[in-house]
Amino acid sequence: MIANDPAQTRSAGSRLTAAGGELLYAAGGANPGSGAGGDATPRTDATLGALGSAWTSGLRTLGEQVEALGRYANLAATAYERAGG
Amino acid sequence: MGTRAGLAYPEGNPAALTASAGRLSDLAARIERASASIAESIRVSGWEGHRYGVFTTAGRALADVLGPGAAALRRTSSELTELATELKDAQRRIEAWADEIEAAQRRFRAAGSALNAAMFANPLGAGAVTSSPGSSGLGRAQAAYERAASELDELRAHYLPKARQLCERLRQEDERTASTLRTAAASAPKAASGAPSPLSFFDLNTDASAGFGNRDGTFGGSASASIEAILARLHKEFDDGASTTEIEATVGANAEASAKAEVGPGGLHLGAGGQAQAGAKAELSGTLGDEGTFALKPSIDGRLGPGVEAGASIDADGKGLHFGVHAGASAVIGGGLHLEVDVDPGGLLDAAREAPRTIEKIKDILG
Repeated sequence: MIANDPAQTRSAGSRLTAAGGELLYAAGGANPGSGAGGDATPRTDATLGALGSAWTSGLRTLGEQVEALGRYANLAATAYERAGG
Repeated sequence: MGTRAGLAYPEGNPAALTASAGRLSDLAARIERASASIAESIRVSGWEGHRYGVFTTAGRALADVLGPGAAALRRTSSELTELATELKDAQRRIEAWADEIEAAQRRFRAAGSALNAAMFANPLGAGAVTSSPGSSGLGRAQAAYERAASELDELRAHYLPKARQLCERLRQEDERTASTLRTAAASAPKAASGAPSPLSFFDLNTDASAGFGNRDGTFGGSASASIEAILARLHKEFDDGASTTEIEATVGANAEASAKAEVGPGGLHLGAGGQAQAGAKAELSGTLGDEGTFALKPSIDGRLGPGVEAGASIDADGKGLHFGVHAGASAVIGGGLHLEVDVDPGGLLDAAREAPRTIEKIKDILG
């Protein structure tokens, strides 16, 4: 059986798109060492950069995937809304 | 490692560590909110079927990737805060010790100056100092100098090892925190598997075949390829009281290409053909679609020598779907056809909106 409630599906799509946007925004600020005003401690300072780089890249990828999932839900809502009308 | 008044002094900026900890904590909170929102959003009542399965599986995979990552960031933030506190405390204590030592150094220098002045004022008094310490100004200056030197030595002996120990403890804490940071970096999210692309919304069918044959003295090759992407399948029943009509319709896009080359007693025959369409297509009907829905870019080529090949491919990006189908056949001299099709999913949705009307038209045709 294939069924769909377009309104609820579109709402889910919107929330997912917003969550994806939130992750992309977070990716932009995922560098914990930037702008701290000075060095942390030698070993920690060296690894803060690696942490920021890994998370920036990972969150960007996931944010795009979550946004894509939101678009998928919106596409489903529109398709079922139009085709079922 | 730096030094203050000869004492080992830990490098680092506690405020920078605290700021980093705060940023990581904020980041973890954002990720947790996003993860919770994803987990909540994928529960859509009233949506069933295969595409809902794809949707929920992908959503769970994304939430599952984010949750542990946020926890790792929280741990890292906590470690950074602890390190900042320890660093600040160590720096404060060593600065206090250094201040004590610097004050003792000033007293030592002052006592040395006083002693020099006393010796300058009483150059013959050295013997008196020896015979009657404290009985003259020179003697008092000498005693004060020795006390200041002794006090400075005692302070250094007391604080030097303590400062070294504090710095060593901080070095170990720094190493532990760095290790936690490396773990958190390794737990940074990777792409979640199973996340749907726009392609996964379509039912895709591809087919390609190619081969040679020899029949009745005619030698030839043929090749064909096709691809179909279905957005929706529609089914309607019409009951006018006297009869029932069922009509199946699809909304999507397809493209196909074929080529044939034969050589035999009748000579050389070449043929190639292809078509592509996008929109709503109902059985026994033509198509109803918007010309803007897709763009077709055919190309042909000539071939020399026997060979056949066929293939189909599909890709999707933010602009839409891109089909490619090609088929080529050559017995001696032949040709091939290549079709490139760009499909706008928005156009397909418009076609989907028109699909029920298409079905009504089919119903009219069927009488």
